[in-house]
Amino acid sequence: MSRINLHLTRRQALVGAVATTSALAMPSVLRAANKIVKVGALAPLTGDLALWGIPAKNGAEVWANQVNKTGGINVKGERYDVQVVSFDGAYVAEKTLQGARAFVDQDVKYTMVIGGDDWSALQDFSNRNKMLTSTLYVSDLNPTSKYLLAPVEVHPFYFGLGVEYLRKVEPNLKTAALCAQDDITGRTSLAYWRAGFDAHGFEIVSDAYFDNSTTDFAPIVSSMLQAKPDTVCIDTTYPSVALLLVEQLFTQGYKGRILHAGLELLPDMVARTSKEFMEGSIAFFPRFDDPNINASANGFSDAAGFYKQFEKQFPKQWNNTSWEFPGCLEVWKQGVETAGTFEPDDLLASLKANPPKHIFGAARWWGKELFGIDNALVGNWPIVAVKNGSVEIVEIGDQAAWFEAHKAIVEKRFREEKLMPDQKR
Amino acid sequence: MQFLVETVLNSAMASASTALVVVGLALIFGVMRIENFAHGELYMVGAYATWLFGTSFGAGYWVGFAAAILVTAVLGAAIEILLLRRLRNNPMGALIVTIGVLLILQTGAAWFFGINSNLLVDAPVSGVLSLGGFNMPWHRIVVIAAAVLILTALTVILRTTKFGWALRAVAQDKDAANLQGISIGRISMSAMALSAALAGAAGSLMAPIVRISPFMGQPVIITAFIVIILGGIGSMEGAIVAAVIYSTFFTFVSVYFDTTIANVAGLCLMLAVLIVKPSGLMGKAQKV
Amino acid sequence: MTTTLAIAACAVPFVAGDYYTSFATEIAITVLMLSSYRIVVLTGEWSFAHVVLQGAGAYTAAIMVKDHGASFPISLVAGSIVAAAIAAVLSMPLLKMRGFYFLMGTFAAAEAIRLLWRKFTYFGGTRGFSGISAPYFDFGGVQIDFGRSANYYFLTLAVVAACLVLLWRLERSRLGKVWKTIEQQDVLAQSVGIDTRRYRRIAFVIAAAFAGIAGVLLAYAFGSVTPNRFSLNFALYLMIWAIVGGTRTFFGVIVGGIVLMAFDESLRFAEQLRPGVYGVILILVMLFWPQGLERLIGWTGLYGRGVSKAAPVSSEGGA
Repeated sequence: MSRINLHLTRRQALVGAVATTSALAMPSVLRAANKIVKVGALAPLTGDLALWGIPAKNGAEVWANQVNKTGGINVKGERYDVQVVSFDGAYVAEKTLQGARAFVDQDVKYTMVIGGDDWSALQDFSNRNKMLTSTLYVSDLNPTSKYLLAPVEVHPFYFGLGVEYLRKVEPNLKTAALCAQDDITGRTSLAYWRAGFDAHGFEIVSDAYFDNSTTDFAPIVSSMLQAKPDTVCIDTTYPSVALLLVEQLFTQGYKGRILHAGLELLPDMVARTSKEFMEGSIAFFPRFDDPNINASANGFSDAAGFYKQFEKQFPKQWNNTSWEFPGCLEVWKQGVETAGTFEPDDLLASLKANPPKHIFGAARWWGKELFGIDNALVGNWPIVAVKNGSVEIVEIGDQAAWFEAHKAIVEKRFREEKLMPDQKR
Repeated sequence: MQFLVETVLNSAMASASTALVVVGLALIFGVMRIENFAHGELYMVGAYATWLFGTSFGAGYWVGFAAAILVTAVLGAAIEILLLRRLRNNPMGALIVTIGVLLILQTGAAWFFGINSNLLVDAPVSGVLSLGGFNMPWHRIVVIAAAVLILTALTVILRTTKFGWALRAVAQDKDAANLQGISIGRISMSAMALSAALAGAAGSLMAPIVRISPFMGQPVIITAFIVIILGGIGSMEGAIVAAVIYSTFFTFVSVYFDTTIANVAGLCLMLAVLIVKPSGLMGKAQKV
Repeated sequence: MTTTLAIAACAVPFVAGDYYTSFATEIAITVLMLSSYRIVVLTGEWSFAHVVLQGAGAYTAAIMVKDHGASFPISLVAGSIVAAAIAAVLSMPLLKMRGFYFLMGTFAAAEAIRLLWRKFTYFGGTRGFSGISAPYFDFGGVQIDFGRSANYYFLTLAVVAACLVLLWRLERSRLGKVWKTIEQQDVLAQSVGIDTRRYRRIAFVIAAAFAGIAGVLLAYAFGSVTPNRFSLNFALYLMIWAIVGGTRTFFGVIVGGIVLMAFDESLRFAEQLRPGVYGVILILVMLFWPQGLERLIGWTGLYGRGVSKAAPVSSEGGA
């Protein structure tokens, strides 16, 4: 049984973790002569949000192994092996701060967080200790978050492109219904979607948050469908929640397009509904087992090989965070190799002066207008649509350009949700 | 109108599954005077067992359902024999032990089935009942029917069999029951197995509807404690009535407002009842 | 004993790094939480609201600092008062209940408050508050920046020590003796004319005042206040620590908190398995030392006069 296999790798991981922990107490000179640079995954490893943290941490480890195999990181001619350390922040801001302290004590050079609810306590500490950090939530950026980068995903900025595409292919749609869970992910997503719908002439007929502890989605879907929407946006809900929502939409007789950032469980969605029902649904994440992935994700070294290796080491654990932490590391690696240093101020200056490649190609630093700081690496982003049961890239758009064209609406919708940097408590 | 009917049916299903969970909790409190915090995790185990036996081994939903009941019953009996029996006079100690069991079961599920796995259980009766624009998946009706059946059977057992008589005797007065020759140990074990099996049955019935995860028991146990307080601790009739009241209230508030407001309103409803009747709707009055 | 503990506590920042120093700060805050929680327990009740009352202190501190630029001592007093006031209001309905009803009643009230923090943007919504700047003292030329973890640790230690002395004396006062009587002999206490509900209310409110102080300390320690930090999980852990430590003696809960927090921390190597290992330990402790760690160390004989023969008082309701 494959079970046994899994146990072995986990046990190895456990031993590795013990080694890391005991290394914490020991001076690093005791270890082998290879130079080592530490990067840290500061994410929930226990509790229900471990479903983000663990694949992210595992992805970072797979990436580090791949890099080390091919010679590590080259800093001014010296080779460094990357070592991933991790800390369970439990998605509680205060615990995450404890992790940051542990990382500083361990001389971690680059920290990755999921962002959102767990960043808030970190900011002062990060500035005090010049702790270079990456987040997956661009909305964590603010004028004083000097050492925080959003180098990969600028959630939710691609949603505008999605509505634009939808308007292009479906000129007759009029109404939209939205729902998401009541947390910072849900709120930033829906705020941006609303702006998108405003910008492209949709009327929002139903708009509600649900609590994270919701288990049965039938009542939520029936109250959404009561408004008879042409389009339904269930974004950004957790993968398994999205599946239940889609299933409810299907059983309650909805016919129309569904919008969701990831559609991570598309095969299950198709199994539970039908190919015809899912046809045309719009998302923003290409498959990594797509034969053309290396061409579209050209800022990521060997995306297809990385995916294969991950599946081998951690079968059935893949989700989008699995490549997003490595994506953050790719950007950092480019920066370090160009700057020739790990020192945060010099590295940051060099990164700003030579914008690194983003996972989907060329990119630039951006964010001043909305977040007061140019720390988001924005490039193009793909729009994918479901065709015959699996997603295909249908268009690649410029996120920043869409924002430039509609920034007044975005700001208005962000203000409503108190998401602007000057509104933060 | 159609929306109203749908919401009523959704409330009925929520009531049914909550009632199954809560009756087990009330039963175990009545007999053993223990608040079992791991009850939600037994519900979780029921859902996983249904997937493992029914879906993964391909034996079909009803085999999975039977397996879920069996597995949780054995687990419940084991918890009683190995742990709770040794702490019979120490309710706070027993409470901590159930929290320990909760942590072990959650961690175990995450370890064996993976944190990110999306396990799907197919409903035994697929398809949707459609009546003039109104849609209701058949499985929701199956849940309601199954819960009514199980609860009726339970009532019959408790009212007519010797076991039921002994169980009620222990719940009323342990020492007197002991004098009557009733073995407290055997009754406690059976009650725990029965209570766990009820949670397992609920988890199994809900498996095709909810998301199966190691933490799926948490919202369930919180709801269950609220309901059990509403109904009056230890009163099974009270538990069922309260399950229906609370679930219906919650479902309606969540469709007309949102679920966060429904949570707050639910908590306030419980507080309001307690202020008027400090021992719940059907609980026995107690000394203050 | 107390001296050893005090010396050990003072030595932490000199031997440990930043991480362990702030971990020690968290332990000190938890010790205050547990010792104040014990006051409620003394009257024979277990509450789930204590952590949210701590949250009330923390949110007060956040609002005082962010909106009014208050200094540390002022937020400390304000946090304490607000927490006590909320407790006083809650106590009116809640103290009609006993046992498990009280436990779940406190849960309902506390969770409703916490959900409101999440709901309203005045309280920062799901993200809460951040950027609560650390205290900075300037005593005529001598400046201390409490943003440094060692300095803040000593500040916390001082506040917690002062509170512990107060709590110690409170327990030995007439009030403390009445509480213990209520716990052990509720009916008897009533029959000799003690208004037990009133005394339980006093205990609940005083405990909340100290929880509020612990909340203010927490807010400054992390520079942030988030609603998730005051969820049921944290309330459960507080209860676990108290029971495992043992509530008979003043030091029982303190030892329980320190030992179990240190234990949880040392289990970090187990990563995903950590909660499960913790669960196994809880079960073993309860099976083999059901009276808590204090009994194991044998303190009950030293400090606890009138130790009851049987188990801690049951929390049961309906009987």
